Amino acid sequence: MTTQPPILLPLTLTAALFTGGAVLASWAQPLDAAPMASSDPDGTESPEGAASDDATGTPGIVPSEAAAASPDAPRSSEGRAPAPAPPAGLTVHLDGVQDRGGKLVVIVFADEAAFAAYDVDRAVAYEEVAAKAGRTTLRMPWLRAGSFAVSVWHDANGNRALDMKGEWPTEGYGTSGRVGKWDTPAWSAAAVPPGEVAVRVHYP
Amino acid sequence: MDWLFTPIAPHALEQLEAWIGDTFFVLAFAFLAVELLVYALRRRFSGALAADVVTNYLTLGAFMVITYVALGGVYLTGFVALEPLGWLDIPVNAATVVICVVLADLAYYWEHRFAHRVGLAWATHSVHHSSPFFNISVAYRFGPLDGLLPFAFHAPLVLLGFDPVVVFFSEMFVQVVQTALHTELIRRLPAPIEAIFNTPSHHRVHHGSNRAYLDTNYGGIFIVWDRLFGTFAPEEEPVVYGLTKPLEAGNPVWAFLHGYVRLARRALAMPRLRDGVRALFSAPGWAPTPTQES
Repeated sequence: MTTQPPILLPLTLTAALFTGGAVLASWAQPLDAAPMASSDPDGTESPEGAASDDATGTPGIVPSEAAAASPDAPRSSEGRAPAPAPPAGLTVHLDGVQDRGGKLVVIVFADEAAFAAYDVDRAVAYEEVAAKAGRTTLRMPWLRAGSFAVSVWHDANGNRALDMKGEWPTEGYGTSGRVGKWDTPAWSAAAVPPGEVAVRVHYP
Repeated sequence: MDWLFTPIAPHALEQLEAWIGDTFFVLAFAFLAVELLVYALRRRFSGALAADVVTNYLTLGAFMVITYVALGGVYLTGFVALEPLGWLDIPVNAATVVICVVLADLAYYWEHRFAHRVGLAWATHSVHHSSPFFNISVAYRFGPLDGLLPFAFHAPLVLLGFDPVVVFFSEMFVQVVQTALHTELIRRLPAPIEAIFNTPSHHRVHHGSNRAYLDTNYGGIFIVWDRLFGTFAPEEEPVVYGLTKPLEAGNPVWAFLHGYVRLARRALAMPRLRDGVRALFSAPGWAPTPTQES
C-alpha cells in the first residue's frame, strides 16, 4: 500500500471541488436566459405575475401567437442571427407563464385521435416542470419524426387537475397553434413538425 | 455551442440512462463470449471459470431483487426529498451533466475507498472482489447491500442543487465505464490515457490480492483522484485476483453472503466487546493489537 497523506487534506479538496463544480454548473444557463439573469440569477424571484408576463420576451423572440397565426410558419423561428442548427427532436418553449407556483404539465400527442380525445395514455410525452415566471424550455430529443401537438396547463395549486369554472379553465392553459385565449385549435392547426415550437400559456 | 446549454427534459435523460444501461448489459454478454473464446484458445478455460461466471450473474440477480424491492424506494424518495433542500438551482443541460459526471466520479472514489476501508461496507463490497477471475462478468458481481452506499455519497450532489435525475444518470455513467474495465484482453492503453483515465490495467491492480496492490486504484472514470489522494499503484508484477483469504467454497450463496458471515465471526472472536464493535467500522485487516499487520 502506498503511503496516504492525512485524510483531512483530500477531504477538504474534495469538498472544494464539489462546491466549485456546482457553482460552475449553476452558471451554465441557456443564452436565452442571460438577459433575465442580469437582475435575477435563478429566475425564482420574479416580480408579480402580470409584470413578468410581459418581461419574458428576450428581444427578437416571436411570441407564439404571431408564429402560429401564419400558417406557413408553425415553428417559431427566432430572429436571432446567426441561427444555430436546430437541435434534433422537439423543443418546446412555454411563454407567458405567471408566477403562481405549482407545476406546468406538458403533454405531447403524435396522432389526431389521441389529441382529439385528450387521451394521456396515448401521449408521446408527459412532463411536469416547476412553474417559473417567464419562458421555460423543454427538450424532447426522442420526438424526432412525425407531427406533434403540445398541450400545457399550469397546475398552480398542485391538485393534479385543471380547475374549471363552467366551460373555461381557472388555471393557465395553452396549446400549440392556439391563436388566442378562446381558440380551441384542431389537430391540423395544433400539429407541428420536430424543431422548436413556442406555446403561450393563457390565464383566465 | 448553443446545444451545450439547451435545457434537456429530465424525462429524456431517464430514457437515455435506461437505454445505455440495457444496451451495455447486452454488449457485455457479447464481449464475455469473446473473452471466454480467447481463454479457451489459450487453454485457460476451466469448469471453475464457467461456474464463476454463473455465480457472477446469480449475485447480480439477487442484488437486483434486494435493490429494487428494498433500496430503490429509499433511494428515489431520499433524493426527491433532498431536492428542495438544494443550495443552487442547477439547470439540466449537456454542460451541467458533464460537470455532474466528473463530480459523481469523485464521489464514487470516496464511496469506493470507504467500501474498502470500513468493515460493514467491505462485507458487501468484498463479494465483488471474491472472484479469482477477471472478466467482464465480474463487473456484474454484486454484494447484497451494494446499493446502499451510493446514496450516501451522491446525496451531497443533490444537496448542492443538481437534479436527482442528473445525479442518477451520472452514477450510472460512472458505473458503466467501470464495468468496461473488467477485462484481461486489453493490456495497456496509450500513456496519456493511462495517466488520466482509469483503464483495464489500473483496475486489474485494484482487483489484485498482491501485497503491493491492496487498497489502490479506487477511481471510476478518472485515475487522477488516486494520484491526487495517494492511492495509485501501477501494474507491475502479475496480478493475483481475488481476496487475500480466498472463498472456502465456490457456491453462489456463500459468495453472496460470505462478507457478513466473516465480519460477524471476526467481531465475535474479539475478546472485548468494544473491539468487536470497532471491527465493524474499521478496515478489514484491523486488529486490536497494534503490532499486527493491516
